Amino acid sequence: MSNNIFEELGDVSRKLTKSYETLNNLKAIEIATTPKTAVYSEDKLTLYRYDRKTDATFKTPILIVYALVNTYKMLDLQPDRSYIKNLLDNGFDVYLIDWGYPTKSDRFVNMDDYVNGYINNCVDLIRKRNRVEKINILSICQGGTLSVIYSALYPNKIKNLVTHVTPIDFSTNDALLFRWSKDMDFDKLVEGFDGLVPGDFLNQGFDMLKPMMKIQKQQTLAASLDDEAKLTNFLRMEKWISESPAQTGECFREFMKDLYQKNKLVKGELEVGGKKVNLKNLTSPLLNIYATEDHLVPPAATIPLNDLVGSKDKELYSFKGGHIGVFVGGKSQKELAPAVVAWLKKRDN
Amino acid sequence: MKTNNPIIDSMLEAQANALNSWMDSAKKMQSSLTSGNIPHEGQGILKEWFEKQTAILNSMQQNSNSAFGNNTNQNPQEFFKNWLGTQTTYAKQMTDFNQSILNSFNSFGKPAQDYVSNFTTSNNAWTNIYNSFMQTLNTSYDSMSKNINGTFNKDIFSNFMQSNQVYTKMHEFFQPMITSMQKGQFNLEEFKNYFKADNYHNLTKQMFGDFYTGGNLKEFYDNSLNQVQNFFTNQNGLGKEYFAQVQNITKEFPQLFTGNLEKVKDLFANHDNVFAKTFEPLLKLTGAGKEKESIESIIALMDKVTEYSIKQSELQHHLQNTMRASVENVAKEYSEKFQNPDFTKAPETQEVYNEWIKTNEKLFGELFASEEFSKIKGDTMSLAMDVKKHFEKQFESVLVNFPVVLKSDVEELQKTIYDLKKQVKDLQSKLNIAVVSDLVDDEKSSKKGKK
Repeated sequence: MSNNIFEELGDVSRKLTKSYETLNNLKAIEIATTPKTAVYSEDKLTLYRYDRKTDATFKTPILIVYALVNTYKMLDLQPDRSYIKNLLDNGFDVYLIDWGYPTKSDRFVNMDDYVNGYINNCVDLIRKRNRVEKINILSICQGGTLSVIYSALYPNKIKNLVTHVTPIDFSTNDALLFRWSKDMDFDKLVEGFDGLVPGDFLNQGFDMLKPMMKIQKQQTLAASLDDEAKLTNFLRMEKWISESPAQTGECFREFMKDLYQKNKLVKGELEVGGKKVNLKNLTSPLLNIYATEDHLVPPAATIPLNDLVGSKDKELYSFKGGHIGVFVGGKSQKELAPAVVAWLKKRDN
Repeated sequence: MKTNNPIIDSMLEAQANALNSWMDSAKKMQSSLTSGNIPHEGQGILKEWFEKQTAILNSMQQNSNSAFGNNTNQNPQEFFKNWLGTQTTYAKQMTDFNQSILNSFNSFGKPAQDYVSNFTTSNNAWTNIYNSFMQTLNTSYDSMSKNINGTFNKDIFSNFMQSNQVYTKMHEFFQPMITSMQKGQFNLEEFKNYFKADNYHNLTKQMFGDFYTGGNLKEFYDNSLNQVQNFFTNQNGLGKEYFAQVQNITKEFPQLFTGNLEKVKDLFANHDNVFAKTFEPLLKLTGAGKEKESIESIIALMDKVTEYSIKQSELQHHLQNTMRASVENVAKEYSEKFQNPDFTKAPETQEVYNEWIKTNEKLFGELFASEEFSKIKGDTMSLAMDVKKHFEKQFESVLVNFPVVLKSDVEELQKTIYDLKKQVKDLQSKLNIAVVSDLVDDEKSSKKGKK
């Protein structure tokens, strides 16, 4: 009988004890530490302006519109891996919408409220504060879909639009989420959750997209227990995942039924707040970024945007990596952020 | 290592000592086996090990007795009693295991049946050890996690513990294969037959717990059955055949999710047939009223739960079959390597674990991408939501006679508030747009004026 078997069981016990000791003694994990000031709030939303030590060198401010799923904090995970800090260091005046944590009283908040209400109010406030007619929008994932809809409805307010890993064409089955959503009854799901779709439920779905990822992550944790820097990096990402907000039932219902199931945006059939969304009315310069190995929003869902808009100045940027890697990887800081900065600089006249 | 908690410190120290003495005993056993001295030294090693374990556990109890006074944990006595009990069982099982190893080697040279019988005993002893080990993980470390500072850190530890449980469960699966390879014998077909559906069920449940929510169904059936029974007892005790069938189901409940899908379907189909035969004519005869309405609603709910249970069983069946295929694929791969005369060293568990993870990723990825799975998953989710809504309707029908605010009332109020807020915002927004436009136009006019 080999000693390895005994040693392995002992090893499991030792790792657990070590992890207990380490986690018990670890300082609190902090993310999204770049200083900012709240300038506006409405319902659960807060609009922040990031603090600058020097004046911005570019006239047009940026409004970051993140997805409703998870939080914006992934863009500012740690000081040396912060997309937001990168923009600030390059001289931009940066605002950000923090959607907050919806509760059951928000169950009826729908896409009209998000697009014609919250986003439009924030845009108008920034235009007023900065005394500009138009602003830049930098958007992420589902935030990108909402921003595209907004930009098509209010083209006169948008200077430049940057979209990251944004789902537009939902006809593809290249990703599991797109496949599964075709067989789900979202009316029942929303009613079943009393109009508030829990963040945990969505995270469970995301975990299923790579079935072994959750277990493999724990091997990373085991390997990091003796390296505080590595462990902290790992835990920052886990913290971000753990803070997932719920989705308001009506907006979730509309997003899943009208977009994932019926693909109304691409077909020109989508109405938001009684207004028809025509992508040809989106005429601002567009930088559309997609990730080649994105298992959440496949390239086939993102790329078609450029052929659907009315913009003359439009570019497609291919980032080699995954959905999250677009923002947090070293490559993102070294290649993508500079590319976005350069693109915006050129169009800041 | 030291924490703030003397109970935990004492436990950790005892755990470490118990582990070290266990490994020490195993090394001595190994040495005896290879030198051929096991018949003489084996019993002595066992006795020494058991005495050491007992001494460690007794010492821990003495050390911790004085610490109880300072302990601010809830029910520390209970916690410690449970932990000690688990460790004692564990210690005994280690003894049984080592004894079974001894028996195996004492059978060397005897007929094959004796060897196989002792090998089976060894493997059963291994299963008991893993179960004890996992019970220790569940009770000891689960209690320890309550002492971790911060909810986030607690969750991280809990996830880490869960993944180690998966590793240990996988270890349990593949141990007979590794052991038999180490002894120079491995038979793939026997390995496949070694496992019952229960094993795959448990391993799948460990990994995909979100798809296993049948735990409260038995309770639900028991409660609903009582309610329906009472109603029909008042209507002269009718429905015996139905009750007999539902009692049959509740008896079978623990086994219902072990992967025998046909059995599950038959059971529920019989339930439905008897149900329709028994109750529909009776409900037509019973007078209309709130009570009848309530019972009809309960029966509709039981119907929905039945539908959901069948669908969930189908989903679990797919998962468990895939798990079985994954385990068998890994075993087959190693079986083929084993045939190669150059195969001289049995694989390390970590290597097998990594291979199993890779195979799982592939097979479960294929399953999840299939149209069939997508449909079943969607149906299961819809039925789960139906059941939930039916339950809520039941609660409301009970609560309607009490002076409490119902969920449906609150939802109606929330809609009214939302509509009013929207009207107010629309009016505000019209006012704000005028202000912003004026601001920008004023700027343009003042610039023109300056020229």
